[in-house]
Amino acid sequence: MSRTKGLLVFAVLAALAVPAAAEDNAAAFLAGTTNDCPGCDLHGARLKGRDLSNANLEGANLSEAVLHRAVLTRANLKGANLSSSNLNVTDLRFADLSGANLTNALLYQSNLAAATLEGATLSQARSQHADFSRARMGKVTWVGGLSDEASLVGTDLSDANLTETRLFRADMRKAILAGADATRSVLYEARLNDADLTGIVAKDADFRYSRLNGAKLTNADLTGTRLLQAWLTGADLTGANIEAAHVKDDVPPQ
Amino acid sequence: MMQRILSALILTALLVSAPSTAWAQATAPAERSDFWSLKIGSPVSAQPTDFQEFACGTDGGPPSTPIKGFAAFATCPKDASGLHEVQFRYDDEIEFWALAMQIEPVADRFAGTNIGEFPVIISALFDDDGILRAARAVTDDRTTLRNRRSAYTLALYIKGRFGSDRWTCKDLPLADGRTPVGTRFVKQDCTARSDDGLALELKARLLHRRGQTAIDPHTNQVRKGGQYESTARFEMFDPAVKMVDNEQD
Repeated sequence: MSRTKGLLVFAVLAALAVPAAAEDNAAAFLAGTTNDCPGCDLHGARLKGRDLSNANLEGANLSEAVLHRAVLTRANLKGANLSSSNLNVTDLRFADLSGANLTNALLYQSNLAAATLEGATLSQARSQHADFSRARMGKVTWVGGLSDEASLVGTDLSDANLTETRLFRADMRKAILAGADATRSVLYEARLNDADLTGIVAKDADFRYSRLNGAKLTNADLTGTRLLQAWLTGADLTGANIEAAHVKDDVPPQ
Repeated sequence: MMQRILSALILTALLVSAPSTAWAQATAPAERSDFWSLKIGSPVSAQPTDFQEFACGTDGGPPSTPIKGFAAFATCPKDASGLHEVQFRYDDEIEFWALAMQIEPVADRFAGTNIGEFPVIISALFDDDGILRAARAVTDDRTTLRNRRSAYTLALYIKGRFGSDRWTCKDLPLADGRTPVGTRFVKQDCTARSDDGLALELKARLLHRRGQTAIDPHTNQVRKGGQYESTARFEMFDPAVKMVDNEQD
C-alpha cells in the first residue's frame, strides 16, 4: 500500500515538474541564454532580429510572436504554431517547417528558399515578395493566401491546396503543381514556364497573361479557367479540358 | 505634414479597431523612435532602444565598422571633436507590417530613415563617458534623383521645426570652380539655439562642384544622374562641445 502511495506521490511530483521545466526553458530562451525551446509556449514573444539559426523550436507555440528580421536558417520549426506571427523579412532558408501552422502569418519579403513546408498550413498568410524557391511545399494548405510577386522557382507544390490564393506576377518557373487544387486562385501574369501542372484543378482560376510555355498541363481541369493572352507555346495539354476554359475576356472580374 | 498626420490617424484607427474586428494578423507598434527621440546630455542607457543596424559613423558618410548598439560606442574612433560617432537607422517593423497589410500611407510614412520625408544618414555622438553630446543628420544621396534634387530643402523643414525666425543665416559666395545648378545656387550656413539650450547648426548646399556639369562637354548631351551637390546637414549639440567643421570648400 505504502509502495502504491509512494508511486502516486512520485507521479504527481513528476507531472508538476514537467511544466515547471518547460517554463524554465522558455524563460532561458527569452533571456537569450539558449536558442532551443522545443514545445515551449512562446505566444506573443518579441524576438525581433534575433539570430535563431539552427534553433530547435519544434512544436513551440509562437502564435502572434514578432520575429521581424529574425534569422532562422536551418531552424527546426516542425509542427510549430506560428499563426498570426510576424515573420516579415525573416531568413528561413533551409528551415524545417513541416506541419507548421502559419495561418494568418506575415511573411512579406521573407526568404524561405529551400525550406521544407510539407503539410504546413499557410491559409490567409501574406507573403508578398517572399522567396520560396526550391522549397518543398507538398500537400501544403494555402487557402486565401496573398503572395504577389513571390518567387517559387522550382518549388514543389504537389497536391497543395491553393484555393483562392493570389499569386499575381509570381515567378513559378519549373514549379511542380501536380495534383494541386488551384480553384479560384489568381495567377495573373505569373511565370509558369516549364512548370508541372499535371492533373491540376484550376476551376475558375485566373491565368490571364501568364506564361505557360513548355508547361505540362496533362489532364488539367481547366473548367472556367481564364486564359486570355496566356502563353501556351510548347505546353502539353493532353487530356486537359481546354475547351472548358475562357480564352477570351468574357467573364466578369472576380 | 498632412500625410504624416493622416498616416498616424490611419495607423491608430487600425490598431484601436483591431481587437473589435478580430484582426487575424499580427498588429504593429503604433510608433517608433526617430532622430528627435535622442536625448542629448543623457547616457547611453537613456537613449531609445529600437534603432537598428548600428555602425561607427564617418562624419555623415557611409557606415564603417558594424557594432551591437549604442553601448558599444567606445569601439568607434574619436572624431576631431573628441566624440565617438555611432550611425544607425530607424526600425522598419511598422513599414513592413504596413506593406504586408497593403496600407500604403502607413508604409510611406514609416519608410526608411528620414526627417520630414527626406532620406537621411543619422548618427549619435558620445563622449568618453557615454553621454550623448551631439546628433547629426545628413541628407542621404542613395535615393531617387527627384529626392536628391530637393535634398537641400531639408534645411527649410528643420528651420520651420525650431521656428524660422530663430536662425542666424549667412549666404556664402561661390568658391572658385563652383557653379550654380541651372539658375539656382544655395550655399547657406545657419546657427540657432533651441528652447532647451542646444546649439543648432544647419548647412544647405545646391551647386556644381568642379568638373560637375549639366552638359557633357565631350558629347554635348545632357548628363543623366544629377551631377551636382544637393545636401543639407544638421547638427544639434551640447554648446560645451566644440564641433569641428570638416567641410572642404
